[in-house]
Amino acid sequence: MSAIAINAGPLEVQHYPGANLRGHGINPLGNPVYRCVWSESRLHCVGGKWPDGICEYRWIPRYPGGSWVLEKWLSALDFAGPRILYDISMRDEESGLLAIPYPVNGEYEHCYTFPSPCTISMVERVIEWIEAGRKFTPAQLAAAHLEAHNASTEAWLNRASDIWKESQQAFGNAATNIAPSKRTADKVQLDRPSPLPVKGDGKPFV
Amino acid sequence: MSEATNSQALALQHELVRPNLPLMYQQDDTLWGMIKETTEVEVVSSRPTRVPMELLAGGKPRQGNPDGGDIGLGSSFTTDFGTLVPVYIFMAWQYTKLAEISTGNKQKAIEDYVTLTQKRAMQGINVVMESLIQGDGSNTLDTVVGTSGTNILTVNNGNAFQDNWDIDIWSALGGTKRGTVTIQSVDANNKTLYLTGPFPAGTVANDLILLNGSAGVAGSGIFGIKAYQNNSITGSVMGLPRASYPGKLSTPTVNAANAALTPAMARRSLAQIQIALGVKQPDELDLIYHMNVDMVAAWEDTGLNVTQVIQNQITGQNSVDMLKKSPPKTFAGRKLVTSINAAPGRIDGLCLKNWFRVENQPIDFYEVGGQTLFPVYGGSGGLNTSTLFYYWTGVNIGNQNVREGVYLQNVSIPNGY
Repeated sequence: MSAIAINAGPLEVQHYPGANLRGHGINPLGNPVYRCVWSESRLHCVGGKWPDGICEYRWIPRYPGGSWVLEKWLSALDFAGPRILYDISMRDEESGLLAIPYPVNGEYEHCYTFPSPCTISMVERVIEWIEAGRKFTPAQLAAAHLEAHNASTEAWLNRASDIWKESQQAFGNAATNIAPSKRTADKVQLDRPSPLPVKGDGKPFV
Repeated sequence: MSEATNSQALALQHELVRPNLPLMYQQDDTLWGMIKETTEVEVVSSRPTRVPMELLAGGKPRQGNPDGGDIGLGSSFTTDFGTLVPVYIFMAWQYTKLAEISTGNKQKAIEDYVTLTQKRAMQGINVVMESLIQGDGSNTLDTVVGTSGTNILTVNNGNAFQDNWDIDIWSALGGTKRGTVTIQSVDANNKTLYLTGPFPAGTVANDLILLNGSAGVAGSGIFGIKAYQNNSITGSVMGLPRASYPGKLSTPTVNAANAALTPAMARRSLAQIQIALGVKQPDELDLIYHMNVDMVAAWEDTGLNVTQVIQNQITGQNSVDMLKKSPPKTFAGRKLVTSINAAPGRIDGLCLKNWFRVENQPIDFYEVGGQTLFPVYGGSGGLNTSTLFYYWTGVNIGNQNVREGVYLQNVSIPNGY
């Protein structure tokens, strides 16, 4: 087990300074739906049998590295589904503990990791995009995924084509007078089979 | 004087310049492309590669009596090794002389058929490898879901196949080979394969569809995701029986039991790796989540991510263009990799730093004495007017620690996928 596991309880989450995201919605508990937090201050509670053999819940870091992370609050039902099913499907068989305690007050879940540095306008923009994305139908999303996949495939093929063409002689196999080394059958000039004999002044005998 | 031979005309002939092909494969953003880009490659001979593992701890603790008591004997840890051998995959391409000369320049055709064939061939073997690395080590591409008419098979993922492939149908690994059929056309949207002829007699649901030429035996093909990411206590990993080391050679899993994907499932998958490896270890091992578009859609249904549609609408006039540089597809805060070859209803958390390749032959033309284009002979013994070429590779995929991964299975597939 890594030494950075924290068993006592969650530290206070560090929020993005000056970011008031309450305008994007407030949950039934009076807290903002969106929040921007520092990744290293964000812990989550995990239960199970740890490598040291102890079965217990521990608070451990939730995100890798150090960066600002946008999170969105989800109700317990949205985050985890019905409790009765959750208690069955999420229980760790070895320890008997729930892998993650049922979030009765809902849970903040990851939306976006910001590149550093991050500005409040970037946070606001990403929230707007997430909310706008909720308006698309599944069919539109599927079509967009297909379009993105096709664009990726086409880009791959175009690059393949460019590399192939780069490896070929200029103008393919067409005759040209630009590439001196390029000769096609109709441009080959037949030289005389051997030089004519010359006189002492260099002029031919004939 | 006898007739002129080719040697007398050599000076007049053009020589084809072969392109630097290995550059091509790293441009693909699928899992195969990632493995080629990010994982180690070991250049090997045809002999097996041994992958050592320390599997069982050792030492015998006990209470003893220092006053002349017998404090017993000891033990030590146990190592063992998996075995990897390169598997040779060929892909044959063929076209006629008339197809070649009829499209040889812009006066004749809008595209040079031979050039286009070369490009498609490069993409083609890439697709083959992407399909194979989804598998369980037997070159199984998919399972027959059902049959229709005389020449139609329904499958789980049509993208695991391509038109024109020959495929072998087996009752089971080590079972009966029912026969070989050729795909006329893949209807990926409807998960349907249309065959050029009737499917073999006896073909039923749950039969296996293997790459043509496969042995039909577990562990005889390319070891893929399902070979390593498996929670079973039976079978083997690189030839090591899981039953010999219970719990050491199986990957943690989250069984969604056909329920819809929830963020809690994603969290649990991450928590399981963190418990097994330590809290930071998954990210130090380049943890990614690999899934098909059905699971991307399921994740989008949670309303947490910037969706693909929005991404497409971003223009250079936006004040913030960071999304163009860094696609925001994440799953539980980790990179999400989409592959249309991935198994539907399944999400794999892969620690890519554990994965590596053993390679005896990189993807290239099959070459004999500098020749890569081969003539075909007709029944008379004379030439047939067609040309053959092959792409081939001798490779296999290794995973040095199958405990360091996780997968979600039996996740409900959203409507429309």
